Amino acid sequence: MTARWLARVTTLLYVGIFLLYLYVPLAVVAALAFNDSAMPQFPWRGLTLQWFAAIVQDPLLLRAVGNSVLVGLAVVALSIPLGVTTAFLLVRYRFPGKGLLYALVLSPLVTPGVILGVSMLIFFDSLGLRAGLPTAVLGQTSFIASFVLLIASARLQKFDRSLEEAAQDLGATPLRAVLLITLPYLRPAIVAACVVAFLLSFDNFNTTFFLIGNDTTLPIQIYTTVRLGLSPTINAISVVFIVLTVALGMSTEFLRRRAGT
Amino acid sequence: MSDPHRRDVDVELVNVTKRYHDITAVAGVALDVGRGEFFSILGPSGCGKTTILRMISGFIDPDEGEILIGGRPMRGVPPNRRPTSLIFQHLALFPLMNVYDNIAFGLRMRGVSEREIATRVAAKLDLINLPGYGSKRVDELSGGEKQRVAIARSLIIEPTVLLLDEPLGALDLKLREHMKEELKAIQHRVGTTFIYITHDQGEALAMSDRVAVMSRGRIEQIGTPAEIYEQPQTQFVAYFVGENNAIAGRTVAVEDGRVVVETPEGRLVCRNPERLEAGRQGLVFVRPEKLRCVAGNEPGVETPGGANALRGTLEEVFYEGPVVRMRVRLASGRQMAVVVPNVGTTVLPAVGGPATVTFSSEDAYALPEGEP
Amino acid sequence: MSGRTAAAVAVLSIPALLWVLLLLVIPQLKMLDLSLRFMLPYDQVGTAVDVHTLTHYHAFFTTPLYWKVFVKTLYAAVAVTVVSFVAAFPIAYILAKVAATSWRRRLLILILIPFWVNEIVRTYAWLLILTEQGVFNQILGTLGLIGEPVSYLYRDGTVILGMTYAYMLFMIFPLYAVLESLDTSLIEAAQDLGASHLRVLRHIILPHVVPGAVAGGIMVFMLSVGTFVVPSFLGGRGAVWFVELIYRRFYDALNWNLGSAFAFILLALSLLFVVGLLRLFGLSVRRVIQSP
Repeated sequence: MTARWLARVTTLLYVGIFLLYLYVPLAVVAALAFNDSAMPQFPWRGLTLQWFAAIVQDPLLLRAVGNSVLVGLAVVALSIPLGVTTAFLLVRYRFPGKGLLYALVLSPLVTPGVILGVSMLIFFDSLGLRAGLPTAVLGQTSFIASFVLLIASARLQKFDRSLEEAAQDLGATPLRAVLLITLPYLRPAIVAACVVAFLLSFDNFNTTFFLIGNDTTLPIQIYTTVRLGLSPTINAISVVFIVLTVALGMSTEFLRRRAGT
Repeated sequence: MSDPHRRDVDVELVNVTKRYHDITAVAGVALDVGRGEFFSILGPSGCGKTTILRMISGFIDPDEGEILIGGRPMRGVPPNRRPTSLIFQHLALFPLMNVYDNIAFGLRMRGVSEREIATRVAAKLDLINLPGYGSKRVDELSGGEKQRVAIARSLIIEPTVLLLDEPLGALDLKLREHMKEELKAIQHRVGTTFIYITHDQGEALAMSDRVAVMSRGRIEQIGTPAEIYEQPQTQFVAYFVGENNAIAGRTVAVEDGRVVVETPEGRLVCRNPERLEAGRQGLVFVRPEKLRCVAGNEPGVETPGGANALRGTLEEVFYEGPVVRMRVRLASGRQMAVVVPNVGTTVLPAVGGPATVTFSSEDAYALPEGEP
Repeated sequence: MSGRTAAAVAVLSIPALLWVLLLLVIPQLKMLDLSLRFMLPYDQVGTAVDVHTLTHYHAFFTTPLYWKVFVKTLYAAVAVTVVSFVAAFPIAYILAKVAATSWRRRLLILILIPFWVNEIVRTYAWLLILTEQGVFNQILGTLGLIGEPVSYLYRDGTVILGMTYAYMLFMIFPLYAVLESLDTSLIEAAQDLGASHLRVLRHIILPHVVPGAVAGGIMVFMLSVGTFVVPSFLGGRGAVWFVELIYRRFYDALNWNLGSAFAFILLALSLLFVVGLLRLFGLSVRRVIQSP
């Protein structure tokens, strides 16, 4: 009985310490965003919202947020068709070189982001493309499409192909059968993939860093600001960033559970 | 329906062959299905019947041979342009559409106006006895209702031939019995040609005008249910359709459509549909319900209703309600299954006691021995 | 029918090939090619003097600064991976096998939330804690444990701490996924047969956990070896880590050729790590990728 009790206490203690380890640093960031002190430090000098107000007055930060949204939407628009069509190709068909293609489209998942960034920087430069938002979009798409592929193929594998055949049997061309029957079936997965793609884009630093040129996105802007020196405004924007990404993350979790992927 | 061969032919298969790598799924199948006929293809799983159905519906092309529907060759015609419709094994109702949209699908593909679709869908819902079900979701339907919606969805495009891929397989026993009657009734009302594939002989015999029995990619026999049951032409059909007792022996005399077979149980006289000559190895088949069983096995015992008598011991009796099933062990050790109707006059021999199994020469037949 | 299939494959291959060729294969081959050429003035690129050479790889192996940074980065990434596994395994096990169902969901959400927070923000948090006027020194000062504030930044250990904090969660979820799929009755049966806790762990649980551990290990290693933010924030200007070495070739020193060689070495290391780990445990890529 005591051994059992000991095991329980150890378990609770371990979980407790682990959660403290996860949350205390984030709590420090959040608390100092509200502290009325010019430096993001304790002691506590009273509650203020001025650092949040400062965000709105910082044109660079606002531009960065705008760029992040723009890049995110563009990445969604590119990576969804790439990932979904490739899912069809890999789930549905056998063809020579399939194994190689499979390895290549999943390779970005295990390639450090800097490599993707550097290699595309070199390639785009050789084409005369200047680094900027468009190259950042392409760079992010290279690996975000892999995530889309995984989500879409998980759902596609569960699709009963006789539904498509039934549609053809009733007079639909193969393409119409896919559009009218298969795509609606994939819709929950595609919706989930859209949010995942946007979140990954919104969050990305490593690949973007090499491809963004003189432009910025929110993570790049936060990075640059931190390098210039600590400031409570960074805490405030961090809190906003946390709220946004956690909200997006929660919705991906919900959507993916619904989509069964 | 007495002679379907004389009717107009709707579907014709001419020496159709389909191979997958080195396996021949369908080997030179030839058959005609008449207009308005209920035609079944019966066989164990893997015999090639599904392949035939998918070739008729256009999802696969035959390697050799020709499929004609309404006299038109179908090679190269995709499924969406064939005058056929297929009821899938698991029905394949579109899960994201309601009943109305499911049934309307084929008409929408043909560009029919929504107004006309509405009247035609309503008519089909009446046909399947589900009026007012249009707005129901597919997952709200019972198994039998799903069946009927699938049939309506296929019939609304007025196919020349309706193909059915074991659609009753997923239903429970009671519902299956009911759907058999329902299917037959619907076919009667619409008059469309049905090609029905199944491994269930009960379904095939009960519903069909004609049945083709298939094994290993080949057709063993085509005939009316009665012909298939009463006059099997091959060992496979004799074993696969219904229950059968088989006794091996050697033919010793042929006379007047009858053959005498010398077996370890004694001489048996039976029909000779395959015209066996004397001196051949053969099998004598007789169905359990054609047998009678009387107490006693002395040579003098009376053998009612039959020229043939097999002596042995009644080993076991299974009371099944409408019938009584018996297992008789013959002197040679062979077991015979006997089924007798449960009527008041049935007097059973005692279990463990001597018994004699008898049958008439009309109820048994000999087939050449070979690979089953 | 096979004609139609071929047409479908051809059409669907177009986007896949565009993706693979334009965003992955050609850029990486281009990077390899650049790493094998001399750095030349702009007007000499593509002329007769623009030939292939191994000089940048030679420079990497013969310049102690370069390979020492590389070894340090590699060592730190391995350390972070191992520490992450050791610390994350109990949490994953508790989540999958110990916690009651109602608690499991709450705990999962609690662990997922920091997982969604950007690594920059998470690293920034440690910067706030560990700078000279930071939270940690304040606590120690208040307790009277130190007189003068100590700087914890600019130390390799701090960078490893930061990386562990930033990437450990990538280990938990794959581990949780495989542990959840482990039939609890197997553990109970082994205990029932008299196996000690340690033996159950060794013979039942750990073998089952391998694909998840490999998936998590690859993620954590990849992120650690490829991180720019963590050393940049916590390592200070003095400490150079490998990605920063690459970055400087591209943006400060403007020697893209040498930078490409470094980047290619990093890519080769990553590939080697993935292939090595999969070989070691006899796993396929597909199995590992599907496991989280």
